[in-house]
Order: sequence, then C-alpha cells, then structure tokens
Amino acid sequence: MMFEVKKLFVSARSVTLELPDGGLYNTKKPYRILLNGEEWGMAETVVHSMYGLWPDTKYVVKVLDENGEVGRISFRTEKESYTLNVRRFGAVGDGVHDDTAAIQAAINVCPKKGRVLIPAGEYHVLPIFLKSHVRIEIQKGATLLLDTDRSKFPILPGMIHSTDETSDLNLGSWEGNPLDMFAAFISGNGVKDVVLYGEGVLDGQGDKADWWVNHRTMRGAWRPRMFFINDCEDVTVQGISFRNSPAWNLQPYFSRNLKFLNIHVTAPADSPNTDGFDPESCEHILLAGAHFSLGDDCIAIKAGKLYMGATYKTPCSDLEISHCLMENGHGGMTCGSEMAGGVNKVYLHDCLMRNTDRGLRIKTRRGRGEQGVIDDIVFENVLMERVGTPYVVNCLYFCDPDGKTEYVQSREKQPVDERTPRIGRIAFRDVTATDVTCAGYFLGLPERPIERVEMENVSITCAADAEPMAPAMACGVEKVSRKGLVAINVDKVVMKNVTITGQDGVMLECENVAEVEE
Amino acid sequence: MALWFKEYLLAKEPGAAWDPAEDLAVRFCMRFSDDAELTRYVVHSADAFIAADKCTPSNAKTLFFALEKTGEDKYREAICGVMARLDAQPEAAPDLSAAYETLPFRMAYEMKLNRMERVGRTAAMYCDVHKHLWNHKAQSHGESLQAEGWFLMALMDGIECCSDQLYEHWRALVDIYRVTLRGVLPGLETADARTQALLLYGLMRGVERGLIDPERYLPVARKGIALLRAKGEERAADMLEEGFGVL
Repeated sequence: MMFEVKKLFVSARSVTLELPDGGLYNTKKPYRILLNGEEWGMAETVVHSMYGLWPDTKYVVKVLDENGEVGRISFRTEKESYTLNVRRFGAVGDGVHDDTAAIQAAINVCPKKGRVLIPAGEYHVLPIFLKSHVRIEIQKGATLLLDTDRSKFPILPGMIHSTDETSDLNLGSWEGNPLDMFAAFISGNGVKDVVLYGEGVLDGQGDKADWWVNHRTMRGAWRPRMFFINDCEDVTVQGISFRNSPAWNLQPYFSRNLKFLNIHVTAPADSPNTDGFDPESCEHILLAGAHFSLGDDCIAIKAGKLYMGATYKTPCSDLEISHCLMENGHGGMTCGSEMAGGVNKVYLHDCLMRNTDRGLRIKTRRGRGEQGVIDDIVFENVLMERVGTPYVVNCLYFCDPDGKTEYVQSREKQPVDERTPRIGRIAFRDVTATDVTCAGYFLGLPERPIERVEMENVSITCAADAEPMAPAMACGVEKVSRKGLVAINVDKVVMKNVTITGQDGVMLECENVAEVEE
Repeated sequence: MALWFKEYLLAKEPGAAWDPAEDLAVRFCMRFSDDAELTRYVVHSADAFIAADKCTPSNAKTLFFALEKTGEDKYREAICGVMARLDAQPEAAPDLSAAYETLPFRMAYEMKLNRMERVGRTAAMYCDVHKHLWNHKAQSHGESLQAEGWFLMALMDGIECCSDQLYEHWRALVDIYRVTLRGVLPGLETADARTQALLLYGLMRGVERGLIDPERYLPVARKGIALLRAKGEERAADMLEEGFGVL
C-alpha cells in the first residue's frame, strides 16, 4: 500500500514526518527509512521525527516495507547561523554542578537562527528562559534535572499593576487565575520563532522534591510547570521527553501558532495534577504523535476562569490533535474546567486512548461566564481501550473552593446570566470504545442545556467485570457499571449507527432531552 | 515585643476595649497572635461577649479568632447566631459605615463556616455599596473621610479573608480598594488624627499585601505618620510603625 508522506516540520537539524498508513499512534507495521539512499533506521510511529540532519541540505526520505517503497518525500533543512555548545559556556553536565547560568548565557547570546546545543550528560538546573529566534537542541543522552529546592526558584507574579495604575501585566497563572507561580522549567515570555527539539529529557524531579506533598497548599507560589510560554508565537517543541513534572507539564498560555510533535510526557499515575498538555487561551496548535502516561488529564484545553475569560475574552481555538497515545491518567482529552474564555474548533483524530478514566471529558460549572462557550469539538477515528467512561460532558463539575455550593450544584433551573457557560456542538465519528464501565454521560445545565451531541459510527462495549465508577464528578452522581448512555439536560442527541453492547438496561437514558434523532 | 497597645489593652477588662474607638489597637493585637497574653486577651473578650449576649458583626472578629485558636463549638454557635440575626434583617440602603459593620463579617462567615456558598453575593454587596455611592466626577464616595477610612478597613478585611482562588470576587474587592484609596488620599493631610490613622492603616495593609505599589505609597504612609507625630499622636504613630514593622 502506498501513502503520501507528509512533512509536518523541518528545522536545520531535524524533521518530523507523517506516515499515514492507517495506524493511530503506531504505524500498522514497521517501515525501513532510507535517507538520501542510505539506511537510516526504522519508523514505527505514524508521526516520526529524525534528528542529526545537516543544515541547508536537501534530503530525500524513502519509506519501505517488505515489498519495497511505499512512500517518499524530499525537503531542505533550514539554514543555521552558529552552534553554541553549552559546554563552551561552562556547563559541566555531571548532574551536580548548577549549570543554569551556563545554559542561560548560551541562550541569551545566541544569534538569530543559532543553535544552543546541550550534548549528552546530566545538567542540574533551575528554570531556563527562552529567547526569540533561538533553537535549542537537547541531544539524545542529555537530561536536564530540575532543582528540587523551591526556595531557589524565581517567582512569576500573577499580576503586576502598571506604574500609571491603569492596566495589569499577567505573568503567572494557576488553574485559570492570574496567581503567583514558580517559573517553569522552560519559561518563555513574549518570544517568537523558537524551536526546542531533540531526543533529550527534561526531568522535573517531582518524585524527589516536595511538590507533590500537600500539593493543594500554596507555599511561596504555585507549583511550576515543565514548559510555560506566555504571549509567544511560532514555537515548536519536537521530540523532547518530559518526566515527573511538579504540576502540569506543558502549558502554552495566550500564545499562537504552536507545534508539539513527538513529545513524550510521563509521570506516575498517582502524581497530583500532572496534566500532560494544557493549552490555555491559545490559537492554531498542532499536537501530533505525542505519548502521554501520567497522573491527571493527558490533554486539557483551557481558557481561564471567570476573571480571565471576561477580561481578556480569549478562547482556546483551532487545535488539531492527531496520532497521539493517551495512557492512564484521568481524561484522554479534556476541555475545561477553566474555560471561561471559550474553547472551540478542536479536532482530535486518529488517536488511541488506553486505561484513562474518561475519553473526551468536558468540564464546566456555573460561574464560568457567558464567554465560556465550548463549541465545535470533534472526535474522529479514535480507539479507546479500557476507558472508564468514553464520553463525559459535565456542567456541574465540583471544582474550585466553592464547587460544592448550592449555586454550582443545584439541579434546579437557575437564572441565565453573565455567569452561565454554554456547551454547543460535540461530535463523535468513527469511534470505538471497548471494555468501558459507562458508555457516556452528558449532564447539562437545566437552565442552559447542552445544544447538540452527535454520534455517528460509534461502537461501545461494556466490560463484563467493570469496577463501578462515578462517570462525572458532580454531587449526586452515583457509581455505576455496565451502564449505557445517559443524557440529562440536552437539546438534541443525534445517533447514527451507534451500537452499545454489554450494558445493563437501556442504551440511552434521557432526562430533559428535547430531541433524539436516530 | 514591647508594644504599647499590648499594655493598654491588657489593662482593660476583656471585651471592654472592643468598641470602634479601639478597633485599631485590637486589630494590631490580633496580628500578634503568637503572643500568648494577647491571644488569651482576645479569647477572653470573645467569652465576655458571649456571656453578655453582646456578639455583633463588629466584634465577631474575636469569635473567629477564638474559634481558630480553640476550636470550641461555642464560638461557632455564637458566629452563626450573629449571622442568623443579620439574615433576618431587611437589606438596608448602601452605606459605607454599615458596610464596615457587616460585610467583613459576612465574608469571614462565608469563607470559614458556610462553604463559600455566598461569597459571590457578599462580594456583590461590596460592589453595590461602592457603585451606589461612588461619584465619578469627584472620584470619591462623597462620604466623610472617616467613613471612607472604615470602608477601606472593611475592604481590606474582605480581601484578606477571601481566597484569591475565587479570583473574580477577590479582584473586585481589590479594584474597589484601589480606587477608594486614591479617592481619599488627597484629604489625608487635612484630616483629623483619628481619620489619618484609619486611612494610613488601610494604606499600609494594602502595601503589606502587595495590592499597591510600595514605591508610590510608602512615602505617603511615612509622611502621614510624621503628620500624626506632629499632632502629638505618638501612640497612633508608634502603633502603625510597630504593627507593620519596617514596611
């Protein structure tokens, strides 16, 4: 079978290709790769990155299976001005010496289109700050170890009032509010045209520090993320492995035109709030070929809580997520619960979710505000294996200090006002879920129901031995198992070629659903 | 710590000092909650209010303090009693002084005892008072400076109590605090000593909490304290300087 090899990204030293043979995360079979006619190695993932290329050079990649060539592509690598090896700047790389200043110096003096090279070794560092027009390569065998002493970390204030007292500078963020945070392992503020790439590792050492102890208590500032960029554009992260984050892993924030390719994000299943990828109020993002295995949501698309949503009115918009593997964790892909600026145009396709509590998980609550509109969320060609509840929309999510109050949790109609969020269209096409506990749970607000849920070519199989679970985190939602779809407060449910097997009781249980189209 | 107001308060019967005229001294007293004598004094004051059935929103800060220190239910019950009486009253027209009396108590109650059920409502009550009375042209509430001083105090109490994780509510109070402060500062120099002390307290707490720029406002505070000394109000000046340390 021939397929069209696509180029997703090329730098001076690397390229990311897509090998669309019908596989989800992995290709359907391994392929040999020839680079300019020479043996390069094997490709086993649909999104496949290659490193060690030479700048400003034309390459031809041929993809072969046992029967011969199945695809090819040619490209030219970018030009590169200089390589600044951090060892020349004093980095030791023995895992003990503090190499922060050396690496930061190399980044700060790096000329346009230059490369900061971090070769093999263990580099003990504090947060590193990005600069525009720089490429940072963390080579195979290189691990950056984040210092474990929070007292050494810089703090990024949530808000700084302007000198003339008329505006604010928002630098830090925590769960949708502009609050003081420790600077991220890799931090960027207002930078453009940056590439962070390579087969190296960023280890946040959350397992060795005290970040995961009393994690709900703010001590000094809120916990650092692994990668936080604020007001940045044209940023690409390629190939890097992120491990043991103190909190959320990657959080692009109010940024644009971003690519995250072949990243690997891992943390222990019981590590607190170690979300994998949490873009907040960003637009134009491609996340492709990522692997997540961690302690919270694999992907959580966000747009702030009420103050940020109402003040900046910046939705998270235009995201494509493809060929990813989401393992363990709470949700495969989540929208919210911080979504006050709105989340729209999200297209997740060709992904594999395995052993997550939920597949698609939309979380919101009263108080997120009228800008908080979730709309045009599409799941297509997705396989879910042993996902507890594949589809969850929960408008009564009991998060935040006031999440269990009557205002948030009431099942009675409340007045629709400037604090009421809205859920528009959610669509699932060609989705198969096996060994689930509950087929799906759609819980809208009585005063503003979910507008439209579409399911087409959807197959769900309940596990015979499923442990009971609460499909949605809202007061009054009981644990269930072998349960069909539940729709509460929904305007319209469209079901075309939907099969559910193994459930006890009806396939679709409705309460205050205006229309079901089959 | 040699604090004059400690001697001053401890010389009084518990509860006796708890009128608005002594409010600042008592507030400073609670700031030093690691001082066993002061702590005992505040707890005994709370006991005295309960025994005399004289718990009010104003003096309920002693009840919250005592509840935190002892965990005893009688303080919780007394606080709930105050709240029940407040709920039974019809809502009055917005008034800065009344806001000082009740809103900080409401916020403390919501945050500490009512699962934050009505934090939004309480923040909205602050906003109502501000919106109703604010004169955009004059950039003030048009009330006496002393009433503005009490309102600043009420705002700071609310801000300190409200979690900044409920950011929209917390921030609404901070914004009102900032404009109120800017509105009153032109009158600082000519105000009477008591009002000056109130305004300075509100200002210095804002600096201390990082709500306002110390470069801009600390010189104002220092000048104000010098004014107090020039009027012979050494104790008030000492109290502000000692209470806030070397801001």
